[in-house]
Amino acid sequence: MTIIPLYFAIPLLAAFLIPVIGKFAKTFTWLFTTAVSFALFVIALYGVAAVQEFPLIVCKMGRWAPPLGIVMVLDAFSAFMALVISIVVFAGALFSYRYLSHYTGQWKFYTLYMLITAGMMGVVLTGDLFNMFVFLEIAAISSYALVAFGVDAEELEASFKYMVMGEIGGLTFLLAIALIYARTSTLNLADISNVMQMFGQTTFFWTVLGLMLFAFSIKAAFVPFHSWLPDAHPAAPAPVSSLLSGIFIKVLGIYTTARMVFNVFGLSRANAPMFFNILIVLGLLSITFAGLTALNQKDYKRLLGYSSVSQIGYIMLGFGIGNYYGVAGAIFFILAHALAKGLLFLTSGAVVHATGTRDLNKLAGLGEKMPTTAWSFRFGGLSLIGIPPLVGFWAKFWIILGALKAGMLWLAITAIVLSGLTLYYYLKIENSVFLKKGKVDAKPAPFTMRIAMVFLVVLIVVLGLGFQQVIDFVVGPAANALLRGLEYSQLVFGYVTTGF
Amino acid sequence: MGEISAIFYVILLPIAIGLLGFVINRLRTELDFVAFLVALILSIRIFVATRTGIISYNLASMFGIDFRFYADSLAGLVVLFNAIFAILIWFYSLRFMSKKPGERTYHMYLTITLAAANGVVLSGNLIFLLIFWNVLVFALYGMLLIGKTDSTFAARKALTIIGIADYAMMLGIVLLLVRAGTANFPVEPRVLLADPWLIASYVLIVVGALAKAGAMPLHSWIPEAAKSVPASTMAYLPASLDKLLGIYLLMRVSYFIFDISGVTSVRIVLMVIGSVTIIAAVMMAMVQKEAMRLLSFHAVSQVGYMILGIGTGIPVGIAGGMFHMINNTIYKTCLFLSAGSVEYRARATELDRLGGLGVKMPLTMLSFIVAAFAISGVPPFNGFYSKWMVYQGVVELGDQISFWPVFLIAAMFGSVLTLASFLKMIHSLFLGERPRELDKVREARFEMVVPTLILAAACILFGVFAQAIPLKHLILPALSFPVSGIGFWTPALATILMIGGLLIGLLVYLLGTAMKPRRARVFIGGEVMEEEAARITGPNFYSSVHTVDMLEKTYSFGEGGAFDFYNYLKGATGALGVLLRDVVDKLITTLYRVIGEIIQNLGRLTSALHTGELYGYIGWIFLGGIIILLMLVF
Repeated sequence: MTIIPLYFAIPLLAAFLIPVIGKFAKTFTWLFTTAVSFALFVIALYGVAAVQEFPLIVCKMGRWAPPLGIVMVLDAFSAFMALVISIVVFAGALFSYRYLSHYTGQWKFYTLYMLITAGMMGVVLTGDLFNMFVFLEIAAISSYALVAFGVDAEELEASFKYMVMGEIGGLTFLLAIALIYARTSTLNLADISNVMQMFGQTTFFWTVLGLMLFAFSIKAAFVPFHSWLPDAHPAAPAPVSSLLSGIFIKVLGIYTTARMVFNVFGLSRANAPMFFNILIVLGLLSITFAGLTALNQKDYKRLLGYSSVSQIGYIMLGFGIGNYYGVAGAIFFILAHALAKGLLFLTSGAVVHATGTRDLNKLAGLGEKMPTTAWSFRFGGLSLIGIPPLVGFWAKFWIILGALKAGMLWLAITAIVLSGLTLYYYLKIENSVFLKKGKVDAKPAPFTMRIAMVFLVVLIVVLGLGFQQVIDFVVGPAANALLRGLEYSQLVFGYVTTGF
Repeated sequence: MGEISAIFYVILLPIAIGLLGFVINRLRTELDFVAFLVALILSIRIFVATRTGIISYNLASMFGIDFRFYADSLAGLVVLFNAIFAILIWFYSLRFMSKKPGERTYHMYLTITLAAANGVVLSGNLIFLLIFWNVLVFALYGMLLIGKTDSTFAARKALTIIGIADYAMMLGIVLLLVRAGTANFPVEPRVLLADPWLIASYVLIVVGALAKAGAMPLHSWIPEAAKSVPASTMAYLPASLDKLLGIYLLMRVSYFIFDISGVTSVRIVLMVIGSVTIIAAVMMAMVQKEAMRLLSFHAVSQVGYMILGIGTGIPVGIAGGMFHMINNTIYKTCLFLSAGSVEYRARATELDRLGGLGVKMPLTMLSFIVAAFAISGVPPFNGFYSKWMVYQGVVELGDQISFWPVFLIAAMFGSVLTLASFLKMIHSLFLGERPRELDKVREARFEMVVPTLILAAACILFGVFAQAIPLKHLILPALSFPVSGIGFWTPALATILMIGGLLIGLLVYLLGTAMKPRRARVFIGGEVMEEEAARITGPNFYSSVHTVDMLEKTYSFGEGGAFDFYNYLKGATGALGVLLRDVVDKLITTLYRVIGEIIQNLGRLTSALHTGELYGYIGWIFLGGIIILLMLVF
């Protein structure tokens, strides 16, 4: 028996159990969610260990062999994504205990929280295109509901906008799936990959890929597809903002793009330079445009939202560079940004919890009143800027190394210079919320919140110091899994025929 | 593998737990205790492992540089003492720093410094070492900023001097890398000082090491800091860890990377620096009127012995220098901590405001006197033995250098002056008459007495059993060559008895008379004089030295900062600074402002584009999508 179904079966089951539990014991729903998240974390760690031995682990759902049946595929990239998901989910779950105290209907929150987790886990594990769409929509619809969870006017408006734009993406993805199924008569990713190679790079090939890139760009919020994000992410409760910015956009936008581009469509910088240049342009556009916009924000969380759009650009830049270092850097950046931005949104939650406002002009002097929060913010911010030895530095370093190895010196320099924007808006929050003297009433964050933040701080520091191990065991294999390209399909079918 | 993970954890754990303790203030003491204890255990483990073998582990190789750990018996020794001093001083600070401003940050810096110091000692590549070295510089800066009074100036001074020395060291390492092709150590065969570049490289690295250890003329940050930072900071950095690290690096470059035995001139320069440091610093110490500042000049002076010993190039001398490093850290830490206890209770460090505290603080006095005798080189305490070995090294130099007696005389004379200045200090602090406001002073707290007594006991132990314990088990195994000819001073029972008898006699005398000063009415022509004015305080013991004609000028120079490297530097940069400020600075400021405004305005523009209207946003999305499709399909 493999562990693969547990990844999404556990949170899915939990999601349906929570309403039942919530009827009888309210606080227990939190404990249960946290325990489940932790179990997922353990499973994800085990998964990372498992893919050290095998390049690919395939699980046939209902014992139907592909291409007819649905398969779940765990390779190093999926295992990596699942690990990052579980880390952010666990931290958010821990954090939400006290944060949710001013919301009603907490069990609904935890149900949606588990559903969104199940959806994301499904997306990264599935080896079937339509299955991917289903999981993607589970996650997306839960996220619409979670953004609107506060049911204030602002939140409902944000959620509505987000839903309209998100569904434009979702339906475009469905259109692409339909086109693929019409031409190839298969939905299995490995099988599609085989059939697509027979077509070659035709108009059909590029149309489908273009539609998918369009759909995923909306989900990942690249500029100019980003406009929903700065509304939606701040509107959600802080643990959800942390989840959405930390990992959600990366699973729905980046993971899917990378998987399709590298493993299914079999592109590389060598055979499709144009496409990779488009990725670089998307990346640079996001970094600059969103970075500049972030400078003038007056809302703590909205600023962080723009920052997410900007940072996502770095990830796309890494993939766009397309060599080993670039791709490994992008994957490392997913981890680094998930930890840092997850943490920063949690600190925003702690601040809102303590003061009731997110307005940077009204906040002041919290550095002394909320030391843990302030220091967590500093660690997260410094990692985001790329200060060694924190994890964010190594991620950015690898991307820049990739640009240098690919002979794109201008890109390396641009990437470094654009870090200045990050520094600028990081200092803006630091100055106005934590350093500036002022009289704002605040108590230190509650214990569970601090634990959640310290957990991420510790990871940021430890993984930064142990970057060599992270590269060797987690990021490197994941990059190799992507750069295997079309070998992916052979591996999937190979393992199936040998009956693994 | 076990030792390698010990190396990792001895560096990472203190830093991690220290930060954690900083964040979780309530658990800080418990967490720090765990950190220091585990660091001590791991250090012992590394120490034991390095007795029998060498631990070497390559972390990563990047850009042709091996980021590797390397622990031989020398490193093992230093790591062990790092951990011992750290835990003792931490224990002392628990009470000493309690409720003082900056207490929290202070404790964080304690752990970070320990971690970085371990990193310096355990790294096996000079560039890797430099990373930890820089962390230390900033930790030092941060720690000095936590002053009892405003210590910004002292901290800035330390940062400037050590920063520049650091830069010199960096340059030296780069030169070494270019000329010798490696920055790993040990280098086999050792690099000969064959061409000017390599000599420059050696000298530059040594500058870095000496600034850290505090040799003249790079010492001036230590007395400056002594004025304004707590005694425990002085004990931790300039007195113990910085000495260990500075001398460790000097050992490393002199005997594991470069081969300086062939170049006599370099060794002579080292010995001259050593001798000058011994004499000049101790002369300055004699006329100081403030306890911490006096001790700090001794901290500088003692470095001279180590440099002198290592500079001889004679095995006994080197072993003596190393032994003196260990001994010095022990008694100097003890002195600073004891003086700190006095300060804690009496709330004063000016010598003429203190006195007669021996009855009130007997244990503190005991540890202070033992350490004072040790630093003065009174047998059978540890300081005597290591100084003796240094002398011996200088004597053995006779067949190489004709003017060796100069060094010997300097070293011995320094010892005498040290004793003299400590007699003054003991008198000023513990003997003589007690000012009335000190009547309520009590013995220091338990947490403060224990570390000082442990250190005092170590002074005696390392002195009486010098051969059996420290030399046999600590110093000699740490050297890569055999040491001969240290056998002739055997602190036999007779000596101990003799000195013991003397000491007891002295103590009885002191306790009997000096602590109970005879009071006589002062009678001057019918006027009654205030008793306070008639009190004989210590600081003026040697004021006549001050007035000797030639010395007087030197002293006024010294007090005026003429020996101060920092002042020269300030003068030179001052002129350049005016030029830069007027020409370059304004240009850059303007440029900075213009660029800043451009970026701000761009930001406003992009913000204005976010109207918040759904239709507009959808328009963007489709525009983007269409462009992508067009680019891909056609």
